[in-house]
Amino acid sequence: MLRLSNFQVYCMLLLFCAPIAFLQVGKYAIDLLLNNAYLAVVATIIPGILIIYIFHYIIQKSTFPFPFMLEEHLGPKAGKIIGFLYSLIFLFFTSFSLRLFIDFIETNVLPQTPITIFLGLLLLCSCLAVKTGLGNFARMCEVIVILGLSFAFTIAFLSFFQHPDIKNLLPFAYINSLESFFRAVFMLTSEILKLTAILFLAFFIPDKKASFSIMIKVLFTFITLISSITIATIMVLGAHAAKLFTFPTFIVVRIINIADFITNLDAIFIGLWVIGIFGSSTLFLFLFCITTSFVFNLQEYRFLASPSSLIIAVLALQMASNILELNIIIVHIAPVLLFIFFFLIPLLLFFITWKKPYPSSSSPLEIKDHFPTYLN
Amino acid sequence: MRSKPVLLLIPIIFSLFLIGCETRDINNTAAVLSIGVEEEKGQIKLSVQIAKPSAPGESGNEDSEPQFLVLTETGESLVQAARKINLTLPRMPLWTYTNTILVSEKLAFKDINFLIDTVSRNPNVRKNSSLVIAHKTSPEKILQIKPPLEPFPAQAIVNILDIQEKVLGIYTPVSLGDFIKRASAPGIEPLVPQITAVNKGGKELFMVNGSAVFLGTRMVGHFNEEESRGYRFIYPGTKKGGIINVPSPVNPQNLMTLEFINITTQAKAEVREGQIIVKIKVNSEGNFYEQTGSENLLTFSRIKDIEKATEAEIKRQMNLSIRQAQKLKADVFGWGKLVENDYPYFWKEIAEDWPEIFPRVKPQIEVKFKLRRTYLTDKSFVSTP
Amino acid sequence: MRYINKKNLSLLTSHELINHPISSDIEENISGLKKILFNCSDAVFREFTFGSRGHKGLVLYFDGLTDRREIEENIIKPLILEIGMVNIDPGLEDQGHLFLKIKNSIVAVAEVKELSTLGEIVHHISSGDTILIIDGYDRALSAGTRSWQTRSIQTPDNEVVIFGPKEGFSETLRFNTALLRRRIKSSNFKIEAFILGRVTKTDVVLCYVEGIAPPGLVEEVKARLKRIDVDGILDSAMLEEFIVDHKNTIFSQVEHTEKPDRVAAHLLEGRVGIMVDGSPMAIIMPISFPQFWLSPEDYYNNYIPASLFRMLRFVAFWISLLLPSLYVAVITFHHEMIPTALYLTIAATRQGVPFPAFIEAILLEITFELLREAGLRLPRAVGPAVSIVGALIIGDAAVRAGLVSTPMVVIVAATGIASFVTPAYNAGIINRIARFGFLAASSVLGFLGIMIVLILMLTRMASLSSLGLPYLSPLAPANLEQMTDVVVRRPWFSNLHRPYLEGMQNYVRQNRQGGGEKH
Repeated sequence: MLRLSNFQVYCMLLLFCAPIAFLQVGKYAIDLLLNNAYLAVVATIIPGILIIYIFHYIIQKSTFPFPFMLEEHLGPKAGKIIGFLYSLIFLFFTSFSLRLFIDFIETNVLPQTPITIFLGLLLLCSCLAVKTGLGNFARMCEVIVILGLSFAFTIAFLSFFQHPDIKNLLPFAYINSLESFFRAVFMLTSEILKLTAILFLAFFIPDKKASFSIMIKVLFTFITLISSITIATIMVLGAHAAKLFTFPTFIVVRIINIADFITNLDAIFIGLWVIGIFGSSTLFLFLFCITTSFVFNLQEYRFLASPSSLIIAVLALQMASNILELNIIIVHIAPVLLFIFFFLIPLLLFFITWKKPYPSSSSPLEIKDHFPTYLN
Repeated sequence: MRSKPVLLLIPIIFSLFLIGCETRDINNTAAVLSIGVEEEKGQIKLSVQIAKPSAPGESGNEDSEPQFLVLTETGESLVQAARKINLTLPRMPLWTYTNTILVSEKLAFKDINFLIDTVSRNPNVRKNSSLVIAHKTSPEKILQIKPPLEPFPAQAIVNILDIQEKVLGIYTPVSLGDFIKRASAPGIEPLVPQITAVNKGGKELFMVNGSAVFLGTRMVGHFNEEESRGYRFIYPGTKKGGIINVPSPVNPQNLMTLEFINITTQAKAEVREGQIIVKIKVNSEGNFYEQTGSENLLTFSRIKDIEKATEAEIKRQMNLSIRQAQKLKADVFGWGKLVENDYPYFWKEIAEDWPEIFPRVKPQIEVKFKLRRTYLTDKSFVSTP
Repeated sequence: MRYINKKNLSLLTSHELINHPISSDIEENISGLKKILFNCSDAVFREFTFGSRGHKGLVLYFDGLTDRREIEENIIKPLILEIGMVNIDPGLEDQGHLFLKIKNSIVAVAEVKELSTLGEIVHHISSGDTILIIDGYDRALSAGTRSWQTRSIQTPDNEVVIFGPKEGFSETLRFNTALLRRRIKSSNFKIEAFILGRVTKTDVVLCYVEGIAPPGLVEEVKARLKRIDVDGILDSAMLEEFIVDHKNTIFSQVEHTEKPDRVAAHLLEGRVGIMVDGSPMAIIMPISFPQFWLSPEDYYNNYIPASLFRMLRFVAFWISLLLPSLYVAVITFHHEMIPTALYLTIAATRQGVPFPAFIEAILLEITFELLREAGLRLPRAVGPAVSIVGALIIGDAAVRAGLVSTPMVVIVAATGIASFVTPAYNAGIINRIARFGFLAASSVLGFLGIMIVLILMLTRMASLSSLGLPYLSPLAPANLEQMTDVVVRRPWFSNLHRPYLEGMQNYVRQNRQGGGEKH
């Protein structure tokens, strides 16, 4: 029986939401809102808490973890069909996060290296991680999060010393158009929607009631991280210049200069960011494997990792032919998919479970007989 | 089960060796320290200054051969010119070490939008390299001058700009990032130091001389020394160091030199009945350093006079600067930004016409100077024959 | 009856004789033992007669394992000379009275045991005991006269410390257990004995403190020890591979030490130690990876400098793991990270070096490893010569000849020095091996390659466990209280709890609030 600690679940959720957002979301918020982009980040707390409440409620009303709860609430047939859709979505997002990372590396670090090499190596790492099992991966996540979070905050902290201009944040709280504000909030919320993974993970912590506080902690870490890096970017680069760059966070990292000697830390930043992306895409791969094994009633999920990695590789390569197409996916397709699958369907579950009584046994240990035995 | 993928790793690693990705061994590279951009017959002329790798301890000799070489190439676009360098250079140029970008005055007057676009897109150009305008000379010529003591002109320019700001306090160094920030934001325009070649005692040297005023990415005029110093007083923020010459309050024929400890400028825009007023408050502290006359200035009662005289001088230089900027319609002080900060809705209406409105803005200047110390002596030297 | 027995014995092979009970006829025993100990030139058979009736007796021992003076003074002399002083009732003689009398009143040795098979006899003499067989009795007496030439208690060469005890284990198991017993004077300190090895019959002891060590852990180790069926155990490290959870890995899952204070410290934290006769190394388990950075010395020093040293060691660990690969990555891929002045210096020194940076690094690293290995194996007299050759030829001549660049020599030397900082030798080995993996990856993909190898290493480490203890604990699964004792050295006054072990019941190390069970 898989056992996870609260901290492990926190780390996994954070790793799921934060790495891509750290590099991406701030930029889109700045694009839309200029110097008040951080307001959208902070405003995300409100939909965030709403989402967290929905997830928490579903968890309390369910006996089985995520893909199995579909069957529990929607009936066997609909459950399997929606489960199948979910497995496709997870497959898509695994490829998507890998592709995003690879495009970033290609544009900024090693432009001449064949894209397949990165893809192959990262997929290899992900496959190995899936094969070692979720319990071991949770331990990895802890190390990654402790390392990555401290580094991310160090970056934000250091960039506050690179000739920042606090006046860049002015005019304070001036929002030029409400539409772009809501679009920015939607963008950010769609990243937070990745908290859906809790629907699966919450069933392995000692007390699943703790899922609420875990999610709140993740939300606040996320908000702090993204808003601090957004503020730092605006202060260092200025909103108009930040709007110009593809990855303003990255430009900020490049400007950091410690004692005139340690400069151009971008390579280290990318190195650590790789680990973040690895964690994020591996979690998607886990969810894909588990959901697929649920759909097809398989007794084991780990063996799915290697064959599916081929599909992921092809999908990642064929997803978009250039960076502008990828940008369309980032801005228009991915948030909508996240919204449908990670918000609307949980909302549906929320309404279905509304009338249901609370399950009698709160711990999955007690219902071991019905529970798939391979989750260890 | 677990060891199989690990075994798979071995052929992958070995195949990587065969592919031989972009390995740029340091042996095959050359560090580009500075680039100069100018226009020649409708084409872009690019001069690059490349460091010769020297064994440790050999550099810095005054009379030895220069430690660098300058290559020049022309092309229809900047990148083409840059890549054409490799028609003659047998090494891979590393653009990341570029710490100064020199632009010819002629090109700047035309428009350097294309240059800024290229360098901001290019991942190899660091955004913290300095931007300098070559005044009355070509960048190529500046790059070929061997500076005293410093082996590389590029580093020399950066050092000169930094040190003069601390000890003399005239020109404000500008990094590429600053330029992009100011050129892209409405309501604030870039001001870039200029450098020129001079001949002193039979030796070719370069010297910082004046600042170039930009409107967006197009240069529109110059600031001379006093106007540049005035700009340093006007621009909001805290600056350290610098000197100022002030006519003596006792005998205006004589001068005294004061050194600034710090200068803090606060600026705020106010809109009254559609009229924009910018209030500038300068608080500065300084030390007494030198006097050309022999009168005893350092008495308790005269300190106030010294302070007054200094304040007047600072104000005069600031006004010179403002007059020149308003003449050029280039808001290098960021007053438009000040208006935006406090009156965002009003700013939205006038942002389009700001270059026309800026010359009509009325500044209200308030200068405070405090004389703090007089170093080792507390009286003027009186000779007794 | 006697005849049949005799005939049978002479027909039996030595293999069958081992399990044969001792006969009451001494001649039979002698011939049997002689057959078993055929060609054992160090076995001494001393036959003698004693007493008024001329009883036949045999003293048997292995020369060199016993204290011959003690045998003469306390066994043979009393039997031959002093037997008359003991009053023996002649009537009771046949019922074992004589045997008992000898055992209780004559043999003046502290440790005396009765044996009943030939096999036991052989085992006891192999351990250094002396056997006394008396005609007419089907039992033998074993007297503990073990005494042999051993290394005295010395300071361990491989674990040098400044603060704290300096004694180290030697090759004799009893001395080693004594060193431990001297440190933990508690009846809860258990030293369970096992005999392992079909041929060697090596004594193995399992040490733990009852009440602190989790019972499940002790049972598991016992079960794993009992499962071992091998011809010989020559060193404690041999047991490691039989006991650990994961066998195909370079990550050592037990700790090896020669220092009794270190073993005692671990036992007090609930771990178990295994020692083997003939080996000065104890192995301790379960152990997690961060433990390898800790030196026992830290706990004897003031906690502030100890914490700083520990951080230094942490830095040294990363230097020894990553420095050459970082250097190669920087000078082949990420030139922009080098400050301009340093770039020019490196570029100047690399002028004319014929190898790519990666080959250069590999060559120097391998040379360094060769020197290191040679330094271990070479006779003492040649050792300095090798270091001179290494320093001069590799360091200076290679640079002058333009084969390698100076910065690379500096890098490899710094890495070498940093690798000696790790207190645990087997953790140092992990670094030495992994370094080459990082080097290869960095030469192909730069920092990205390093990170990918790091991910793979992390994946492997996260999946390991040492007897159920996750290999990365307390970093993962994270435990804030214990993490503070890994990154810095937690001061004793706040070190209230023992590190977490699965199934441990007694966590309280210090009683400050007055609660908890004391041990």
